[in-house]
Amino acid sequence: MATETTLISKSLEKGEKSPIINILSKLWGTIKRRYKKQFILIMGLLVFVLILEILTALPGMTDPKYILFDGVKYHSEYPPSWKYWLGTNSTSQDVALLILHGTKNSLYFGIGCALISTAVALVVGIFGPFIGGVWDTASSFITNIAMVFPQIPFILFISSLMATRSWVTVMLIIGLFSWPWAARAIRSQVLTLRERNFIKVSKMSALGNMKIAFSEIIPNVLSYVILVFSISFGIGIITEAGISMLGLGDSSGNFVTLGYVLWYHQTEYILNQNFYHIWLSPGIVLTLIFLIFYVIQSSFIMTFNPRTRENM
Amino acid sequence: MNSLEMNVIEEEDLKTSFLDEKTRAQKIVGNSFLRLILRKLVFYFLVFFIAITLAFLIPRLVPGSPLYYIRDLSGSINPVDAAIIIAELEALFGLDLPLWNQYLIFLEQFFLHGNLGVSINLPTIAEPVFDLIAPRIPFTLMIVIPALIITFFVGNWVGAWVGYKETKPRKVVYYTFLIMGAAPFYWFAYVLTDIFVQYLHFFPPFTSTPEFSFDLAVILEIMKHYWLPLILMVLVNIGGWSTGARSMMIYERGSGYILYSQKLGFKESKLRKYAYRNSILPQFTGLNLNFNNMIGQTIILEFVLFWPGLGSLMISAFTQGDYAMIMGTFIIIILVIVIGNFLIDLSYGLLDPRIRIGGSE
Repeated sequence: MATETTLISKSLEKGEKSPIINILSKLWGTIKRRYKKQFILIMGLLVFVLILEILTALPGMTDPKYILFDGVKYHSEYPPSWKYWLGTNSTSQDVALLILHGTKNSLYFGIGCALISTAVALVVGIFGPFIGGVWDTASSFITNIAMVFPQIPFILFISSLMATRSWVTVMLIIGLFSWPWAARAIRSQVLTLRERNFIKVSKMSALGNMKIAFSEIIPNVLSYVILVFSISFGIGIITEAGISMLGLGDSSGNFVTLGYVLWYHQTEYILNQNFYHIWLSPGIVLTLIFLIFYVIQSSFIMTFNPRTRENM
Repeated sequence: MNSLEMNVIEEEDLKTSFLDEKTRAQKIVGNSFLRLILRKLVFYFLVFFIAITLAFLIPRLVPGSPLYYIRDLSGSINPVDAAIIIAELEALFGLDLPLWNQYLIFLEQFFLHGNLGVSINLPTIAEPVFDLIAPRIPFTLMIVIPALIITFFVGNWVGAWVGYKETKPRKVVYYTFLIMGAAPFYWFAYVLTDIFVQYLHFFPPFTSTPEFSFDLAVILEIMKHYWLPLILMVLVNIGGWSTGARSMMIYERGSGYILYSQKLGFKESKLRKYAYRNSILPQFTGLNLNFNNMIGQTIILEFVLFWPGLGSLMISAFTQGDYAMIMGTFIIIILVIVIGNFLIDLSYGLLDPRIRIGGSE
């Protein structure tokens, strides 16, 4: 900590430009100090993913769609027992194994979605208002139009028209249709930043637009970006599960997600039989994931907003 | 418009004449409202135009043809027959023409004749798609519109109620709604169906919702099926509103005028009312986004609960490969969303004079 700050101050004294490494290490220090709670939460999530990775890589657990057949009969529609913790579905697959793989894949899927939509939101939300002129109007106009576009109907429409869909395409479709609100939030923040004096000073000292955007604007809206990222993470997972449940997810069937487990239920039982172990568990896992992200988001909001920080 | 500007206008009016004041003010409001309507009309028409252009282009640009479902079927019948059927269908939809020509025909048919093509699904073959879609529109709207209004008021009230004084029972209510909002809504539909239909028998099973007709018995039957989807939409969406309202209320609670009035000894209920009014206004901007989300949610929910609205029609069209029906339902859903957003913007303009007169966002 101390060494990092002295490094930066030394380089500042010499009038050197501080390299990106120093800025990042300073940022890292702040993260560890101020965002201790969130840091623990996110680390917990990473450890959870690691445990899932290890569990699903164990011998005998790598194939979630493995059909349980002992040579005499299929183990279909078993209630939960010590052997099958969450029972088996009608195609003789272990529901617990499906959910382990599904949780892992859903989380990865969420990261992908969040990356895509945050990247688009960043580009539209930062560079438009920052460069100004035609770009500003254009980006504002595109955002306003995209805000009205219905997300779920568009996703359903596109994926229903594709004969084959890999999970990457589904991720792209969801990511590319869920950025507008994020772009708007970032944009309004950039618009207030643009009028601040330190931006005007850096413009007067003939720094390039790109350089100002990266070294002055992005660090200042980083809190919003993190928030946007975590919200799109949750939304991506829920949306994917929704469209997979309708059978419009990954068409190859090799990418097992939580929505896929629900789809089995949707197609085969439709609540005529009481197979709670099949449909309750994916929903509970999805709710828990969403709640974890809610806790992370609200703790970020509390930390970013000084007034709520005092009141909480 | 802030109070200063108001004063300026009033002074000007006083200078000119007393009699003119009211009519002139009315004129300003009327004109600016008209301008708002025109501006929004142009914007939403543009949005609609871009959306249907995308709806036209996407099926023709994504890998796989709009008729791939039929191509898949061609394995089961004689390949020569299949080729003839596909050629006939392509001629029927005009898919053999160049792209610009198809686009012009599409626009002409839609805007001049209101024609969305004909269904190729067996029970409803050769019927105009629009006639099949039109009776489904009220079914979707009768869930979305009441749910939007109820969740807006209840959700904001709950959020403000919790934000103003954070006691334990209030927090319990708040977090219950929050967890219900966090649960994926399609899965929550399973849970509620299981409780209320399977065990408590409060509502009839969903597979038997009748088509609409002007018959009292049929309407009563539809109403019986109607409550669960509505309750579900309300329960799922309250959490989202109340989180926003709560943080707005926490912000208002700490602001100067509330603290000052507390010191002056104002009644607590009066203060809460002031803070509530101030905290609810920014929430209005969320109506548009929430309306769009709710339409999306209803589409999936209708399929899960067998509610005969636009969404279940759209999703069944996916499974049957009914190309014109997919396009038609999609365009009608966009139309519903665009009109809804337009009306919400206008109502916002009516409520907040700054939107009318300020001009920009």
